Amino acid sequence: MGKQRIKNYVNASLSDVIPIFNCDYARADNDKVSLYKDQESLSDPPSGLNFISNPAGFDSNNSKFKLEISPLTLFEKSLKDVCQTTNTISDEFTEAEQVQCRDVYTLPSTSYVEPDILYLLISVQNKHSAVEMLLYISLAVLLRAWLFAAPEFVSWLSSLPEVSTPLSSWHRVVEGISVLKQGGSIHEGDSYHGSTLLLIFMSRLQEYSPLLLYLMFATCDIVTSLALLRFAEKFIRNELIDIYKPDNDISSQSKSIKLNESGMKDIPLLISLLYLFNPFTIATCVSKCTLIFSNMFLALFLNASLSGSVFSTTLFLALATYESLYPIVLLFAAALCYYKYQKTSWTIYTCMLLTTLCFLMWLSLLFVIAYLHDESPESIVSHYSFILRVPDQTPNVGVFWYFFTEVFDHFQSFFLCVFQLNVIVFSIPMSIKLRSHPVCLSFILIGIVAALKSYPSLGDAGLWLSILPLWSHTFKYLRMAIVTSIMLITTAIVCPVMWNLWIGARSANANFFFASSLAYTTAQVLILTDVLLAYLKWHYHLREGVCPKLETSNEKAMIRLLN
Amino acid sequence: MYLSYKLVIPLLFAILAACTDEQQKITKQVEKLFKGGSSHTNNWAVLVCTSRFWFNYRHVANALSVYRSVKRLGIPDSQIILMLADDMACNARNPRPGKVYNNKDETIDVYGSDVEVDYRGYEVTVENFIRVLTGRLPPDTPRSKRLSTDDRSNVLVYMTGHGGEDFLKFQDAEEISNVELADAFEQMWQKRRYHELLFIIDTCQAVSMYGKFYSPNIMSIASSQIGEDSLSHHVDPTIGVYIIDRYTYYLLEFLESTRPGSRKTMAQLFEICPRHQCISSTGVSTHLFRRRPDQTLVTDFFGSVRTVDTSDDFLHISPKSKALERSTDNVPLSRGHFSHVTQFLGDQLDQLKILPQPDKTSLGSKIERAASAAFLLVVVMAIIKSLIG
Repeated sequence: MGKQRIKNYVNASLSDVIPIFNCDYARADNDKVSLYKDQESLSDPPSGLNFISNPAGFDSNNSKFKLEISPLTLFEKSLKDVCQTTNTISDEFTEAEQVQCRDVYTLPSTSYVEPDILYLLISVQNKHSAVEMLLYISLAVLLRAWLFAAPEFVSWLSSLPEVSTPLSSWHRVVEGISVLKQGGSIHEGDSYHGSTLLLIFMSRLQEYSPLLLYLMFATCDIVTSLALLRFAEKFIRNELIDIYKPDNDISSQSKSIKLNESGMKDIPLLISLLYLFNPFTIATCVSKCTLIFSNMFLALFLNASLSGSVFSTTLFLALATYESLYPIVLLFAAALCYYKYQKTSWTIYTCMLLTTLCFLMWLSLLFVIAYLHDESPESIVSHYSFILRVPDQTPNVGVFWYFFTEVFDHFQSFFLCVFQLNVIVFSIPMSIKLRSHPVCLSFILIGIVAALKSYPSLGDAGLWLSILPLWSHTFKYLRMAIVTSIMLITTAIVCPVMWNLWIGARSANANFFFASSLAYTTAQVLILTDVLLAYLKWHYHLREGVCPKLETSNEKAMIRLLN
Repeated sequence: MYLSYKLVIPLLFAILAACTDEQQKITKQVEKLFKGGSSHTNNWAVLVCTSRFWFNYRHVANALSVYRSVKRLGIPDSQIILMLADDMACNARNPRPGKVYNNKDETIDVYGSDVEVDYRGYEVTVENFIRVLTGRLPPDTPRSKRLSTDDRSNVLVYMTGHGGEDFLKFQDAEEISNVELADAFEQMWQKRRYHELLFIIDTCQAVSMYGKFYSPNIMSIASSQIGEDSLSHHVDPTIGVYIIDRYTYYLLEFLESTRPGSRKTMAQLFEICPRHQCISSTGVSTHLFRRRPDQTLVTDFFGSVRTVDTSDDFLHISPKSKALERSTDNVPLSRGHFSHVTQFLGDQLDQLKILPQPDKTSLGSKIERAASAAFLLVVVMAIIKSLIG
């Protein structure tokens, strides 16, 4: 049998190509080519990988052909009649799509025609052309610029409590900047409650030119969407690699639910567009809330966590934590991501230690710079104490304000602890359960924090809602998709209506508004739990097959989690 | 009290006339004019009803009854501050619209058509009451709402409502304590806003309200002792509520028989409403008062009686005339040095502090700018690398 050496293949695109297989032997069946590491295992049943090759350049006479690799390798397309056990290679080839070719392999002709087809390369990167992405980005910028140009609309949006909270409102930033200019202390009094460094950054930008601020908000949105694009690409590629690796624990009966590239190739672009043109996001950007920075840092964190570099991951996590305290629950997720996607091979404990140390280093660097500004420790922690103590009970779409307007002073610290714990405590059990799915863990924690934090707004939900299509392969396991999605949309629309009825028309009261915002929070939580459950079920079926039989039973009993 | 012009001109001539025995006689007469009795020159009244709601009709009737008596005995409306916390005459539940009665035979309409209520409804607050007493009102307060007394004014302060030990309730929302009241009166004393003050209070446990007074020349009467309730007198079935309190009922009975020239004394006033009639025991405090109650006329406080004496004779007036010596001259002034502080903001603009400008060129701020710029650069590079790479 001829040995065909399969080489690594390098693609010239932005994405890197993962060499998956270093196999020496290949065998072709009807429409399948299997790769084996050694000769002895050639008799094993084929592992089910399908490949295609380009018809052009095939010369059947001397079995020398130019191997052209399609970057959009479609797994499910079969190689009909390409390889037959009679050792002839037919002329019919399936069509390939975009072609990028680098290497030419010449096979020695032998009297045996063993499967000659080499294989390679899975590059699941969708290279959307830069032109396409630029078009979408410019559309988004134009939309935001058009909305910025209507100052009444901007000020109306800023006044909506669903969009701007006491933590992120633009009016408070303006007050903070003017206090800064006059040399006073930013955090004294009830004007600005965000982080010191952000205010300094914005005031310096404003000194150069006020237009820079608008530009900065639009840039943050674009950076976030690009980060989400890259994140989705990396994640999908990693998932596909995980699934199609030869030595994984995926059952053979789970073919119907396996990921396939054709279904997944549009998802990164969808996610980034969902973020760019999401009304929640546009509202946050146009009303100039500082939440946009939190979202940007979280998206960059997600992107960096898949890159295997602990420094950039912890840098963005530290920035996000410095902005608003809650991303600290993602520390475990960062460590687990680093462990899973690392280029070295440290143990989980080393990874955790390294991640924590780097995170603390970046965070203390931020604290030091903030301290240098004012020489007072208040400038470091005053926005944390605002987030934790929740002194301001301005209505928002969260669950804190309604309760804390009526709690007795005697019990206030107790219930503060309970509510804050409610946000943070989920990180530990989730990290334990989802320790091998760190990206899902990040997603769920971001979602929980967005729903239950002390001053949430619509922009918080906009981030994780746009990441939702990443799990579209699990949507067949969702139990209440229609109900929860309609609930979310309806309550997001009803909240401003109830606010107007209460404050504007004075015919409703706080209960109306709180009811709609409570239903909104419930919808978010329901979606999150549903998606989590669907993901876990999908993984179970992946491992155990779609209709796994119960081991202990002789009868035909099956576990079927699919609805 | 003003000397009539008939007295001034002869007095001027008296300066030219030689001192005669006639002069001595005149001097004695003038001395008697000034010294016999109180040396006050004007009368003011502050009548306060602190309760609202229809079932506190009797408190409004109390205040209005005293108002009527005080007006009848001569104090003009310009010198009465009437504070009523609720409007009973025009209340929707009043079967006699526009009228307030203090007796079930409804003979006297104490509201009348010429009533002048200075503080009405929600304006009757503890703050406004104390501002009226101490004179610390905003500059735009009209004259009818000011207590423009001087050191020759006798002030009657009548308060009625719901009270408890050491407090009096205003409007069902706040209270004035006896300490606050005592301090207000002390402020009045230090600003010389009264000559003598009669404080009457008709509430439950009323004696506690005057327990903390410490300023001179205050006489206090309370309708009940601590631990006792002041009770109302009777119900008018037409109106449907109690319409007068016992103490005020008997006070009115006493005052109705008083005419402007009456020589009734305060000692007689103390004896009205004994226990068998009022069920509560009245309380009286005269230890701060200089004169004896049996030498103090009721009209010194309730009426605005001008003592006028006519004479055709001349009087030699010298600056240090004994006749003109004030009874308050040998009272020590304030115990410490106090300076006047402006209360309202318009006077304080020059006291606003200018915040110091930040020192932009100091080393610390340079380090801070450099460090933050470096960090910003690092973050931007990381972002670009992560997006591209």
